[in-house]
Amino acid sequence: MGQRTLEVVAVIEEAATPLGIRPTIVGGMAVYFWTEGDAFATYDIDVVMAVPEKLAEILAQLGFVRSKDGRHWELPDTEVLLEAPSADLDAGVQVAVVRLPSGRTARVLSRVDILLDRLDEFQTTGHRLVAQQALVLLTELTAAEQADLDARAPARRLTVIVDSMRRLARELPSRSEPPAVDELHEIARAALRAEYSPRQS
Amino acid sequence: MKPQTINYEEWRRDAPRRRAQTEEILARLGPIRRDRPRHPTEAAFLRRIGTPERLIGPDA
Repeated sequence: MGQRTLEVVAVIEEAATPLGIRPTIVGGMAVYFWTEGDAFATYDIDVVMAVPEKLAEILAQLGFVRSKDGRHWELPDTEVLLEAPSADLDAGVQVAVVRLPSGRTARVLSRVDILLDRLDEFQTTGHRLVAQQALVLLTELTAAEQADLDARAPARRLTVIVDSMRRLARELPSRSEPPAVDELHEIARAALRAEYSPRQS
Repeated sequence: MKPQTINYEEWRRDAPRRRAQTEEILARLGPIRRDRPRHPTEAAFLRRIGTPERLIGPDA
């Protein structure tokens, strides 16, 4: 993620903190921060934060223009588009605080949490890009993060998909072809069935 | 839990290694193409700044 993107969010954080609001970067930009994956990076920034009227006024003073749909904020004549899809992070979610050369800080969803989000989305949709992002994130985890992932996956009903994706990641180097779309859909469907079917006694 | 703290300049020094690892994995994963629908406001913005269609995906 470019320093400029982080600085944009850091400036908003600086203005929003007195209101008790700490914006956190989530979504594709968080994936990019952890992976440097230029191949799937786009420039829109998803930020979890409440936008009360007071903060809306501050964003306008900073030069942001709110879109007609009310969800997006664009900084005209730049490549900056913010979306605030929700006001609060889920309970138990962890963030990383990035200290910038300017002295400001920006918050990014932790690597384990963005991976859990991607696995959840993949399990529900079977989408290939989400699977690709999850596989890249998975292979970058530290041992401590792997343990954290194992500890937290059951509460989100993601144990089966974690196991399936680890298996796929291990197999990748020996495969002659990339995983097919149908195979990914079947992995996602099987995990969803296993997590949500009534348990057999 | 206390948040992880990252010094940006130290993080950037390790960026080439992260990028290389990501590219190595992506090379085994086939074409990168978004299939999840995209909000029209985002799609219009991304087209305006020249984002490839394969990353914009279908309109919601």
